[in-house]
Amino acid sequence: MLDFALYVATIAAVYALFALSLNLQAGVTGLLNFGHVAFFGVGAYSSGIVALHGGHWLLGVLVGVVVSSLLGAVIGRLGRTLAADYWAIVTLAVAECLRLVVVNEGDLTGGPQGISGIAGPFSSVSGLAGSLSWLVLCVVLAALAYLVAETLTGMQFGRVLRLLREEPMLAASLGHNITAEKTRVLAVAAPIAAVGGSVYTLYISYIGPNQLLPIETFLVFTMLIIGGIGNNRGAVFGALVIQLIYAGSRFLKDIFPIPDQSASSVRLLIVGLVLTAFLMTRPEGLFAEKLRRIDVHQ
Amino acid sequence: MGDQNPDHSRTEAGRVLVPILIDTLVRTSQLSLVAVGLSMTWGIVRFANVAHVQYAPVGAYFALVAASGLGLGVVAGSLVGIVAAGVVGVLLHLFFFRRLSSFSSATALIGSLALSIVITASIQAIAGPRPERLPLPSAPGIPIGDAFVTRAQVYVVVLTAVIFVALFLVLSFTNLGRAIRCVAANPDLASSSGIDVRRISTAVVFAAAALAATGGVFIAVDTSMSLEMGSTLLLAVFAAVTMGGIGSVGGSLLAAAILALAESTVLRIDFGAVFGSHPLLIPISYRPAVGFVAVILVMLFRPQGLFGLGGRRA
Amino acid sequence: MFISRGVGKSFGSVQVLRDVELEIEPGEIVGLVGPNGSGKTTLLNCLSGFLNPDAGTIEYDGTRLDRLADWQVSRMGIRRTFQTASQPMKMSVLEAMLCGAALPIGSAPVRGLFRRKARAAEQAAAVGKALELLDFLSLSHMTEEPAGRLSGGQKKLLSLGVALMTDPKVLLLDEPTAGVNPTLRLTIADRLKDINANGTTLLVIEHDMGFIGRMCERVYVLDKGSVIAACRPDELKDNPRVVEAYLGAPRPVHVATGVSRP
Repeated sequence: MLDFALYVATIAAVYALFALSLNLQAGVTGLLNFGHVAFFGVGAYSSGIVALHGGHWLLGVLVGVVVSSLLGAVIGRLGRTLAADYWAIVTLAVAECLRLVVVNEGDLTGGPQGISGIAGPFSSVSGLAGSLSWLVLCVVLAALAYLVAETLTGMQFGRVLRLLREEPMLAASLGHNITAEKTRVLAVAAPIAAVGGSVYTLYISYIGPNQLLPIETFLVFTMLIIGGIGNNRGAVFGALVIQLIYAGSRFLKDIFPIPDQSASSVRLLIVGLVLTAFLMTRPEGLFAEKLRRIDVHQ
Repeated sequence: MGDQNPDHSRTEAGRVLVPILIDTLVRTSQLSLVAVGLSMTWGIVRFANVAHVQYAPVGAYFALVAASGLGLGVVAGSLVGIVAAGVVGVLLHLFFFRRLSSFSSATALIGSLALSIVITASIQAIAGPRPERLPLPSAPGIPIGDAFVTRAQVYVVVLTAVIFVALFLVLSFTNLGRAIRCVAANPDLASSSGIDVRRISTAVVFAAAALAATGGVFIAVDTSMSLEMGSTLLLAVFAAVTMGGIGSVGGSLLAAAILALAESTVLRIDFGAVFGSHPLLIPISYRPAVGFVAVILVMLFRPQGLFGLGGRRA
Repeated sequence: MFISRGVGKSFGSVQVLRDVELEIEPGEIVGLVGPNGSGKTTLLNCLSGFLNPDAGTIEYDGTRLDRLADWQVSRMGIRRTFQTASQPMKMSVLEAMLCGAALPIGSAPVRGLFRRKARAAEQAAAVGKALELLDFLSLSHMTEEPAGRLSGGQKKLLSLGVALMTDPKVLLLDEPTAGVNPTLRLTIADRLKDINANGTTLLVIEHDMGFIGRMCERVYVLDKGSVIAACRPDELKDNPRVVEAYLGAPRPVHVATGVSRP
């Protein structure tokens, strides 16, 4: 039971990284990235592939950060010519292409079976000490990501992003290059998700193509909507709520007679219905985005 | 390869071309039926309704329930399934999407993503994850050269042609059709010129969902129905709609045909022979990539559509 | 020195601007008037980089502007406002003001993250300037209000303030007083004169002829996309082409009386 609780908390912290990354794009900048899972995938597979070739786990994380940032910049640059909904579809297509390559290029990625037995930083530490080390690492990373995301949102960089989300013409008239800003925010946000992907892979020591399905992106969107899109604290809170729903649904089948094979779909159904309910009745989420006060030293 | 005798190479060509033709026609039917509805509604709802493709599995599974569960048989069951999916589409439009659109188009877009997941999860929870088939009697295929075409495939292609002709006639020559085109092109203007936009929108949404459901039933008739039916259609359908030009019925059909042809030929082309090197075929498992890549290329370079038949308003 | 030569712009088959010649000396206040649909806003869009003209050239101090993007023109010290002054709902007035400032450290994600002190100092200076400007525009009491919730007139004032955060050399103003109550309209006129006295060149689109008469030394009249007159405001009422453009008939009334929308 304790093991399970530690697992849930660790995964929640990893999810917080995804949510904070997507919040910088969708919440702060208004870029609906339907292919967000691609950044997770780049981090996860960088770690997996580097491990497969006997590289140090840190190298895997580093490769993931660099590659995801480049991918983010490229995807952000596409925003130059695309309307918002077109961009969303294109990001989804890019992520699906990535998944297809992962499934098909078995020599590099292990194909449909994925890569298992990936050694992480605490592989030699067993039992409770190992689980605790992982938890501490992931919580520290999540806290760090929160700090980075919150600072970025509050400073001029994020202020301009928030302006171009609401009033793009005004932003352009004030000398802000909208394409460049979109490119930069994706290049900065992507590595946060990639680190999450790396850590996740090292933690469960496995990565497979089924973790790159669009449904993962949808889960992260749900976290944002529940928590409050545009609000970094909301993103973290949303990640926690979704993880708790997921964990809780494991006990659901002890109460209700749900066959094993439908357990995962019932879980998704619950998450989907929660999201729909929020969209219908409280689209601003539990923690609505607030005005930011600026210290006036006088 | 130049030393083959002409007779042999002709049968060789037939062996390749006939299956490609059958493949393309069947796939065009399925894609275009799902795409045309999205194309017609996009101008009205003004957001990219990702959930539209889910009416295909919804229709197919309703048809299965009506055909086997209620014992109506395949034909009547399919009709019931298609109408039921249309009704679902209308209800979602009236009570879900209209509300979300009133917040923002981004909310509606996320909502359509949520709805897709809810539909997929519901089907999985109720019907289970395994693919299902409609209760069709097994009929021998009709041989064409070396290839076979099933009776179901013939029906699918012929019925699709009939549907598109009917659609074209309704849109071109009836008052309802004129009103629909007017609403799709500019809802505000239509409203101010005395058209009941709400009623027309509802009619279009019903037709769109029913057409997508028809596409779903046709896929089920041809092969089988599964959970992934919607998600595997998604990007190919969006590629067809954008390529054809939003709001253009003929464009969607033409674009679907191009995509279908691309899907069935690209994987059969020996790129090694083209570049004069070793045989180099793209593995069949990359087939979905045609739609993925097409949607990226079209949206980037021809967002107004390939043929200039329709267009996207900014 | 702001010069446009032979500027033309078409949307599809509709020619909106035709051979527009314009010269604005540094420190001038120039009016741009004309009936609705005469192409004033399109011209302002061309001058500010929001549209690239199909024909002709636009120069500022010897630099070609007509192929630059909107943000590049803005960074050259040529800023504009919009006819409808929309402002963000989820930003305070003070934050909206800071969006107009150039904060190189705070704008750079990596540098900004690591150089906390320099970033704070840079922002504090901008906050000081923003508060001064808000005071100048009589908006001090609104500092913490959501910018998008201000009244129409206050939004016009705010967008003026935001544009002034970098001390622009030229301001292109699209109807700075339209839809503003008369008291506030006088405030805006006074402030614009102060801004001009500090050395900023102004080009003002306005319908209110009284406003134009009080503010401008020179005025360009646009009709159907062409400049039909360039003169002093008090000469307008004697120009038959101008009168005809406005009233469709040669009757010299109203033009100089200050009626806001003919």
